[in-house]
Parts: sequence; structure tokens; C-alpha cells
Amino acid sequence: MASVEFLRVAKSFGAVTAVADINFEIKDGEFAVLVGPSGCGKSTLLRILAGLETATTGSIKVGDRVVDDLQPKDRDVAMVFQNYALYPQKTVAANMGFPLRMRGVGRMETEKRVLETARTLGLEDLLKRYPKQLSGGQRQRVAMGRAIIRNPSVFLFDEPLSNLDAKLRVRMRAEIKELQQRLKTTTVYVTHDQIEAITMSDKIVVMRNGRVEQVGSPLDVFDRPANRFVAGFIGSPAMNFLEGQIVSSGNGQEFVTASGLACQLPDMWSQPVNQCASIGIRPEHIDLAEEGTPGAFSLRISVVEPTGADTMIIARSGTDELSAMIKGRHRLVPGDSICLKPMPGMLHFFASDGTAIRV
Amino acid sequence: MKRAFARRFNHPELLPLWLLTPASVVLIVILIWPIAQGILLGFFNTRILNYKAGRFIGLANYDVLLSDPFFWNSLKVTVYYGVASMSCTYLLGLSFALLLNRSLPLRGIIRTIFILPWAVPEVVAVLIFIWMLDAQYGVINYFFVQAGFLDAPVAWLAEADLAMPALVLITSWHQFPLALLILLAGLQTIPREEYEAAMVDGAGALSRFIHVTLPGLRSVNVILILILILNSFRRVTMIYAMTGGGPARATETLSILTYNTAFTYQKIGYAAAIGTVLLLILLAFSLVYFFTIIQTRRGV
Repeated sequence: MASVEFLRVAKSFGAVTAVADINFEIKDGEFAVLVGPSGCGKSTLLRILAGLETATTGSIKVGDRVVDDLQPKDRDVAMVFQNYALYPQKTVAANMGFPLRMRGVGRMETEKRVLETARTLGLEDLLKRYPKQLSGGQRQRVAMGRAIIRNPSVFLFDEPLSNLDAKLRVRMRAEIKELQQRLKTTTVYVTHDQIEAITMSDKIVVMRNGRVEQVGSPLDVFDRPANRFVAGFIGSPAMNFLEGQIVSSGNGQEFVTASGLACQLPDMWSQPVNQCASIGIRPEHIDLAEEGTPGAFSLRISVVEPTGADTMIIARSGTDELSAMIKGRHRLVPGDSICLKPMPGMLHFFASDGTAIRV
Repeated sequence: MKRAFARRFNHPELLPLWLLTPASVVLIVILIWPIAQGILLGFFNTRILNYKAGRFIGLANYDVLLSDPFFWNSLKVTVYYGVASMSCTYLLGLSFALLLNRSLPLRGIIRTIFILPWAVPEVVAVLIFIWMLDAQYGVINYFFVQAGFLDAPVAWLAEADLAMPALVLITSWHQFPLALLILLAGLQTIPREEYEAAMVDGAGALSRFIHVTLPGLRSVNVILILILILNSFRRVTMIYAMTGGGPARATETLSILTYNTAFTYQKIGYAAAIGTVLLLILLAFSLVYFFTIIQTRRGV
């Protein structure tokens, strides 16, 4: 068990900066997810932590130890790779026992612990098989077995579910989370899938272009995104953004978009008026409203997507577009006009540089 | 009647057969036919100068063969040469393949240089080596004497004990690029993640070599070793140009014995019998390796 601390970590490959100025801490036993679009540096950061890459500057602490100059094998971390990286010529048992054998654990002891680990993961019947004879989910489990068998201080997962089909991914997601809760081992998990990030983590680290955009609990990041990028990246379906400005009118302040959509602002709005350049509304925070309701947008429906439980609507007015996830089923026809009202207090405001404005 | 016949031969399922026919005919004419002729010739006491006078003598050639000390010597020499040159070639190839598999500056140029020996014609390579091994002017003798390994220059190719090592040396020098290329290709198919997983799992460089590199090369090894052994068993040009089988038959492999018997001693019937034995040995090797390949595929 150990905490992990990144101290001003940076890495460049030649002239290309992969990650820069990374500073955050993962507490002992925490499940942290590094999330961001491809090429944001999340995998690089994980590989630096594993010791497979060396940081150009900065330092990493695992527990109380600075691990910068340690070999991967001496860092007491275990890693699960995206394509599992099982040893193809070894059986499942030999794959799982390998880290123990490499650490000089005896044959009998290794066999015993392989069996224990296999039981934990439901792999008892597969021990004599070779990786080629396993399904994707089984390989994934063997890779996890190889990681947990030696009881490391930190687990590292590098997009471990991206090679699985959608259904299996959901199941393995739950399995990994359950396993982590049982073992209480500090975990760093890399993914580009924000749903994985939200559902699995205790702490989300959102990255873009080699920098950390926000660190926080999943709900915190969801509710209070630090900037427009985080707001748009976290959450599915993605947040709507409307560009425009705030104008004062007779009955308080209004947000008016370029194409003329207007939205009344809450009374508590007290920030300097000219700062706000766009507002964000999550699709699930939009309700149907009667024609003429104050603070509602009047739009024309372009697409209706019934999802079974809810109805997804995409509606436009000029260049503005809103997607709304309306509870229940509704008879709506594309081309009809519709009135949509953001739920009170659920608006997000962003300055022109993208940073969030708290109200 | 005629139409029924035509229909039968135009049947769509027969089309592949028709398409294969030209290739089969070529194979039969240039491969199967000569081999069959060679095997057949082994049952005759034919001599080159009076080819027509050869008589069928059944298994008499093979009877002589089994009690021919030169045949048994050649068999021994062939195995020695095959195993030794294969091992040296493999080790040389593997060493350089491991070296070139790393990211080196100028890797492309270095790789090209390493492949050059293979591009040198065998006879030319032999001539260069004969010159280098020369007792009076050879650079190898000069080096060994200067370095104190030898008291006096040695006539490498004239000593029964030294001719074979010299032959193995030049064979390995000439053939290692082949091993290098095949092993390098094999090394590059091993995923980087396997090495990284092994590193995280606690394996040092040697363990990674044993547990990742060698297993990863297994299927390539099977093919490479087969090629190297088969090549050495049927190699004529290089050995003939270098020693002609001498001194005192110390380098007379089965191929050389076959050649000498046929064209020096003119006993082409007997030579065909030796050739047939060589063919059987090569066939046995091929089958062993063929089944090893199938088994490796099935096992993993």
C-alpha cells in the first residue's frame, strides 16, 4: 500500500513535449483514473510511473520513496497492458507465477499462490491453457492475475478494456472496481473513455495536450468542471455550449446568443457582465416547457432519438444547437418547433479563455 | 456423347485442377523426373564414359555402400560439418540480430554492411579466405604469430585437423547474414509490451532473453535451423573450391563424395546410390522439422 505523488513531472521526446508540469497526489488505496483524448500524455505518464520511460524533469514518489532512479522491477508496481502482454509460450499458470519466480519465490509457494489468485479471478479451470486458447476477457483476467499475485503497492492499468467488446467491457469494469475495493491497493488507471473514468474512479485526473486540466472526485469534475474542455469531455451525451454574451434587460440579466436565443440568468449572477462568453448545459438538465415560458429557448426539432427510457432531442435555431435528454417518451416530429428550458441552477458559465466562472 | 464428355470436363469443380496442370507439368519435368531418374540410376552399375553399357544390378550398389569406409567417413564429416557450421552461423546471426534489433545510430547502414558477406559469390569468398589462410602470405597466420598464439605459420587447409574448422569458419562467415535476417525478422515480431511486462514483473536482461526472446524466436528457429542444416548437407561449391574434400578426405561430405564418385571416379551408378541416401537423410530431416512446426503451431 502506498500513495503516489507526481512532482513537477515533464517528459519530452526530442522537440515534442509529451507531458509537462504534472503535479498531483493519489492517496493510499485510492482508485485514480487518468483520462483524456488520445495523445494527451496519459499513457506516457503511466509509463513514467512504471519506470518504462524516464521523466525529463521532475520526480515521482511511491509511498515515501522517490522512485526516479529505480528499475521497473524495483518500484513495487504491477502493470496490466492494453493488449495484455501475456507470454504466449507460457501457460496461464506460468504467466501468473512469472513475477513470483522472478523474485525467487519457490516452486511450491508459487503454485499455491497461483491457485489462490486463480480462484479469486475464476481462472482455476484455465491454468493449463495457453493465452491463444483464451477469450479476450479471460486473457484480461490472467493479466490481472499476474498483476495482483505479488501484492504490489500500486496497480497500473493502461487502457485495459479497450480491446474488449462493449458488453464485456461493462462487466470487466465492475470486476476491476470490485477487485480494487477488496484489495484496497492504490490504482492508477488510464483510459480515454470518460464513462469508465466516472464509474470506476475515486479520483479523476483529466488531461489534455500533456497537461492536467482538473483533478477531483468524479462527481466534482462532473458538477464543477474547471473549464470548457473538461465540461465537454466528461459526461455523455456531451454538454451543449452556446456562444453569446450577457445583456441587461428590464427584468434582470439575459444571456443572448449570436443567433438571438435568449436565456434569463439566475438572480445570484453577480460576476462582471462582460466576462461570460459561453454557457454550457448538460442534455439531461433540459426540460420541455410550454410556449412562452420565461427563460426557455424556442427551437426547431432536427432529430428525435428515442432511447427506450428517455428521448434524445436535437434542436436548432440558426447556428445554435441544443441536444436534450428528456425523461420518458414523447411524440415529437422533426421540423416542429419546441420549447426547451434549462433546469434552474444547472447552467455552467465560461469565460472567453474557456475557464469556468463560478456563480 | 461428345457433348456429355465436354460437359464433364467443363464442370466448375474441375477448374482448379485445370489451372494447376501447367505448374504440375513443370514440376514433374524439372523436379520429379530427374529425382526419379537419379534413384533409378542407383540400381545400375553405369559409368559415365560408357553410359549405355550400364546393367541393372539391384541393390548391389547399396550393399557396397554399407561396407564402404569412405561412405561412413563422409557421413561423419557431413554431420560434423552440418552441426558445427549451423551452430556457428546461428550464434553469429543471433548475436548480430540482437545488436541490430536495438535502436542504433546508422542502423540501416550497419545492417547493409552485415549482409554483404552473403552477397559475395561462394567461390570468390573461398578465394579470399584461401589467400587469408595461406601459410606464407596469409593475414590470419601473420596475426596469430604476431599475437603469440602460434609459433610458426600453419597450412590450415593442408592439416586434416584444421581444414574442417577453417571450412566451418568461412561457411559461417558467408552464411550468417541469412541467419541474421531471419532472426532479426523474428525479433521484430516480439511485441515490445512483452519485454515491458517482463521488466515490471521483475525479469533482468538475462531472464528477458530466456523467457521472452528465445520463446518468441521458436518458430523462426525451427525454419532457420532446418534451412542451415539442409544447406550445409547439400553444399558443394564452397567445399569443392576450398579443399575438394581433402586433406585425406577430412572435409569430404556426402555431397562431395557423390560428386567425386560420379565425375572423378566416373562411377555414376554408385554415385546415384550415395545421392539417394543423402536424399533420404534430407527427407528425414525435413519431416522431423515439418512435424515440429505443426506441433509448435498447435501447442501455442
